[in-house]
Amino acid sequence: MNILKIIQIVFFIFLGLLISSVFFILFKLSPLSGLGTLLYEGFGTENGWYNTLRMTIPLLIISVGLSVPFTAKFWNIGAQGQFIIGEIFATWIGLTFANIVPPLLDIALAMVVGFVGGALWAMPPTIMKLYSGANEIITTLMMNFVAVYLLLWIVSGPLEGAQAKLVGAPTSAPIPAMDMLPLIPGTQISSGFLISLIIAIVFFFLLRYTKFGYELKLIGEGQNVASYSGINIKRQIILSMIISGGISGVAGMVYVYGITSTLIPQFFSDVSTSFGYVGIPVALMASLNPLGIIFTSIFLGGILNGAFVMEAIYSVPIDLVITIYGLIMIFSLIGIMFDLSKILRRKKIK
Amino acid sequence: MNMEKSIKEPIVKMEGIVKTFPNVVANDGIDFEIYPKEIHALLGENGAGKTTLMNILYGLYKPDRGTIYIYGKKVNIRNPSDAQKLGIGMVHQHFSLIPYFNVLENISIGLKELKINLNTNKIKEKLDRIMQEYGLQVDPEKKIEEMSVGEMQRVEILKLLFRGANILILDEPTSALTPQEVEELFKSLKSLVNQDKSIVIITHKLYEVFEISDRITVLRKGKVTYKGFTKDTEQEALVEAMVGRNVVFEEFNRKETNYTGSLKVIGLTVYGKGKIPIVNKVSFELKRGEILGIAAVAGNGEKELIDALFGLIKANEGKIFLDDKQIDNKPTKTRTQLGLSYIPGERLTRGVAAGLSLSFNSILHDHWSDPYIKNSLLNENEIRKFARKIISSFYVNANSEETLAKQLSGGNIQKFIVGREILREPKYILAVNPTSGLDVGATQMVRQALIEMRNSGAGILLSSEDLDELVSLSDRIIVMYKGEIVGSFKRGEFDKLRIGSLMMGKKLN
Ligand SMILES: Nc1ncnc2c1ncn2[C@@H]1O[C@H](COP(=O)(O)OP(=O)(O)OP(=O)(O)O)[C@@H](O)[C@H]1O
Ligand SMILES: [Mg+2]
Repeated sequence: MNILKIIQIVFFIFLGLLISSVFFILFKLSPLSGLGTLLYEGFGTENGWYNTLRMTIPLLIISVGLSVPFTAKFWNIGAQGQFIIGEIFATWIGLTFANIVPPLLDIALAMVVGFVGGALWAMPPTIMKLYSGANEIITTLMMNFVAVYLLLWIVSGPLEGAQAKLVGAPTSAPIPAMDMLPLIPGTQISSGFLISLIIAIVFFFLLRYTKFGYELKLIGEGQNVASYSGINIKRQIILSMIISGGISGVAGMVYVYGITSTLIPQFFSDVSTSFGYVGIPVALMASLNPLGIIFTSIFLGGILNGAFVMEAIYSVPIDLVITIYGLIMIFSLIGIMFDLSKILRRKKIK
Repeated sequence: MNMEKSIKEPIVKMEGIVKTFPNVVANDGIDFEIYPKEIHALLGENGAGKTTLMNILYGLYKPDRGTIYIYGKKVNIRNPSDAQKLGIGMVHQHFSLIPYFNVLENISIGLKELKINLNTNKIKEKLDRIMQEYGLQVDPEKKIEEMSVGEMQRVEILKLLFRGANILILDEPTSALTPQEVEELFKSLKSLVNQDKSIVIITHKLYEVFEISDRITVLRKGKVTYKGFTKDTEQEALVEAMVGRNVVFEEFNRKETNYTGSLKVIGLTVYGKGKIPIVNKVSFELKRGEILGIAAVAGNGEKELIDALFGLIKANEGKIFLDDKQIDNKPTKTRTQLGLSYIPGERLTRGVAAGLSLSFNSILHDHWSDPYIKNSLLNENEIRKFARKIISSFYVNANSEETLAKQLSGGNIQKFIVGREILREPKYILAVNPTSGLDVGATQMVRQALIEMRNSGAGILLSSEDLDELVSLSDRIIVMYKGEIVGSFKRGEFDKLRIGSLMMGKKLN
């Protein structure tokens, strides 16, 4: 990435903020302090950073997983559903085995089972696409809706926690504290962050240096050249979706074991704030490069966090916050996708 | 005629055009004119800058320097829609039609009128009128995917005429056409010129130049090396202008060969829609050290036969043996590992992954194992080395092995594919139009390389639109018609007339 590109991205983010100001004014709020708060809460304080990384962890893991099938131009829109199933499976493990097996074993078990859950959830749309041609964008999306309601049913039935009745909101019982992922010493950051960094680095190598990554790139270049090359396209697509779904499931496990400790239905289960959906632009903004995704997920994680804080503390209407957040996301995407240098060159010639 | 033309003002005048890509000067101060009512042949070696120059005229590239005048007026062509407004239209080396749309839909795409309402009747009327006027007939309701290359070409040209083009640029329009289709295309081009259109045609086939063009411009390494009327031009002068030296066509050194091993095909049948056989009980044996030519008019099952041999489509019946090993039930990967290579006809969508580097493109068939995979990781040094070997052995015009395939000129992509399939040292090669889009020198080089492969023991199955190529390279020729083998000839007994009539389905006695 060159300097011009970075300037361009900053410029577009700035433009997004500028347009957001209009909305603040419409709601009779000061845009400067509003936007300031958003960024300050996201990136300005130690505590803000802790909360930002809480958002970043699941986002980073999910997006890195998505980069795998996306490289083959197989569009998995179902990360949200795969994430939720991973949460459910992992929580079930935790609540069943926590006091029976040592914590480390519980964590390992939950991670494996979370992976299996997410991977299983990713399979029906994959199989449907490969064997009957059903568009994966639609089918993976539908699986999300099913997962959302499955989760609601689980936390108000099979895994309903005793405290849920007291709080009045459906949640599961908490995973025992000693089985949770530890914090990084001296910080408030869950070691889930380290897990997500390791996953990003491993996946960078997977896509860049292995036969598997190479074949996914060829598949992304088109069926024709891929089958000419002798690649088993179906097998590799299935494998990429097992990985992507599985990794989303791991994100769900890490989220429960590292952050929430209980299974909570998302209050904002809409497209703009769910990790599984936000993960899509996060991966695309980084051109599917897992190392780049580290940065894009921190950035969008921060904005997401700032938005929640504004809603919670400053009681800014949630719709406004989501609007602003959406605007910033769109403009940063434009900033990255758009080739400003091309436009500049054109101007020069005229 | 001649006098009259030289007095006329050019309708297009490109002056001092310079266009550089990173490390390449594609156009280096080119002057180029198009006169009214002429067919102008633009010639030059692979990578000489022909496509680039025409892309500039069509608004796809900005020139770094230079001026364009249309009807004497200086213009700034920023994009293809600017070009269309000026009456310029271009058909690319690789078509841009949407396969599952019909003709009408393809022509409608991007039309301004459509933004308001979809008035298909009006469009259809206008299309009918244009087809009448220029004698270019196609079925407006037919889908592109069901068309022959010749028909697609007509659709591309109709699309331009529909948008009011007066100047038509055709980039290698004949390279994928059968000789009959070329005839038809040339007839239409002549009638277009008679109705006041001007045409630029890029081609590597010199006899086409002399048959169809009025004027010639030759480029070499981005510079103009020849300009003149076709009727005043000698073929030798033309070749020298293109290549920079006199080309001597040496006879191929065809050795007596006697190798054991063969690619044996027994009763191979491939069904199309509705169980109609596209390939019908085809049997033959291709020995090592032999070139077996397949002569067929496109669409008679030769493509499906070869795809089935490589495992890209399923053979419904019959057996294939590679050196006595049955392979018809084996996937493509196994076949390539047993020593099968394939130079495909569709170079940009099948022969290369256009968006990846030449390095990555060099190991399409060999990325499974040593030396390109070490400890299950890509061994980039070896991969680069092999890509560089292809580039230097086959004179591929590329900056480096990290250049993306799509950044090469059409002919250089072809050279790269041929080089890759040959240098992996296969036992058998399936070659479809291996010299399509190549310049004179490169054509000679590729034919030479195929003969050398044959001499050193490879069996080559050669399918080509160019009967002369088949006759000059093959040891035997089989003729396919409607999926069946209808004739077989030995070298020394090749009779182009008889082969030609068999290809058309005529019975010989
Ligand atoms: N988009 C691009 N990026 C980089 N280099 C390019 C690009 N397009 C063309 N070139 C380079 O410019 C040179 C001229 O290419 P061009 O396609 O004009 O050749 P051509 O005369 O049409 O050749 P051919 O007969 O093989 O089609 C080549 O060296 C090619 O590699
Ligand atoms: Mg070209």
